[in-house]
Amino acid sequence: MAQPSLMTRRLVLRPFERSDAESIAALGNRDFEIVRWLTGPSWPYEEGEAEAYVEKVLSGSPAGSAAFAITLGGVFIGAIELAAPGDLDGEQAGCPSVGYWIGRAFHGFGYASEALEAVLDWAFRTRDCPAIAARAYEDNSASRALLRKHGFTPAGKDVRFSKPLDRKVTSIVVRLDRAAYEAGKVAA
Amino acid sequence: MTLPVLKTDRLILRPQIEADLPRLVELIGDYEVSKMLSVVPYPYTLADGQEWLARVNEEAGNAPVAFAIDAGEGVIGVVSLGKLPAAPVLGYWLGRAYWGKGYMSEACRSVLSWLFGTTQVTEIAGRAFNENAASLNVMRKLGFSDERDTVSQSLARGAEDLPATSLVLTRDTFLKTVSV
Repeated sequence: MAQPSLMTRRLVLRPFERSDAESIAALGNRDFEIVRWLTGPSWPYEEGEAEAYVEKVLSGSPAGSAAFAITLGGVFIGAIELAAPGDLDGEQAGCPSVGYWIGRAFHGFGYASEALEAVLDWAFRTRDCPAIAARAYEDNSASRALLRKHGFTPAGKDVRFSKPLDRKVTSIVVRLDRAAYEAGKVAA
Repeated sequence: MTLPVLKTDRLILRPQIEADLPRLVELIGDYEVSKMLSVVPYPYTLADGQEWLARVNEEAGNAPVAFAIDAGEGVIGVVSLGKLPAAPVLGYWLGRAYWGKGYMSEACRSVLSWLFGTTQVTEIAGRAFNENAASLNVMRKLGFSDERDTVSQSLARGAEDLPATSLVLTRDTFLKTVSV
């Protein structure tokens, strides 16, 4: 399925391009304040990692996953991904899960919220899934508050190895059921 | 300062290059364009264009930062940000054939996103002649406020003082309110 661009009030969420690697490294991988909340990236940054990540996204694997570059006026400011079902186990095994980060210079303006809203809308329209899940480190209060605001509710815990922190971390797993999402949209 | 290449829906904002010169000289050589600008002479010669390119490409770190606006077929205008980080001032022009399409708002949104997102600059000034309603409108739409009466001159017109308005845009206002 060709991935569209999604427009919000202030942002354009578009498919990744090869040239995004430089911005991803500068705003994401080279900033510990971003990397520390993720599980996959190395710390310190390993040369070529951002390029490899972009290639992986462009290859479209695994099937059913999608990633958008979050852009403001054509400037890359962060990324939001929908991982194919299978990232989480238990009741969430059949749900795609959403993850995101925004460069530190662009924090505090509600961009993550705007991007998340657009991706949830797109995901529920295009995926036949009962719910969308997400995970955030237990102590990532900003991300957890954002997910709560969008109607996600706690569904369990997830313990996995964090590459940047070099230890196992506990994340809170949350989910947003389709019915709750649609009811919330009507109410809003 | 090394400038990035920024892409918007319809435009590419990129460093200015030698190959831009012929179009640059032709488009900014239009009196309808230069009479709204403060430091652009009329008539505009190839030597003027070369001098401008030499200034923006200076290595010294004292060069004004300016992006060429390209709609895919060469330069159609310029967005400049003044000397960074010491004296940020937004300036811009667009070839007459490209007016009225929303290009300038699109270009400025992109360049200001880059400025406020990737540099330490937290505020930028702007100014336009009062008769230049289109330009004032572009700045107001971008979130510029704190309007003050001032006077300014246009090199293309001569030494006459013309009523103008100065405005200011802060990083916070831009990042909170700018819309696609």
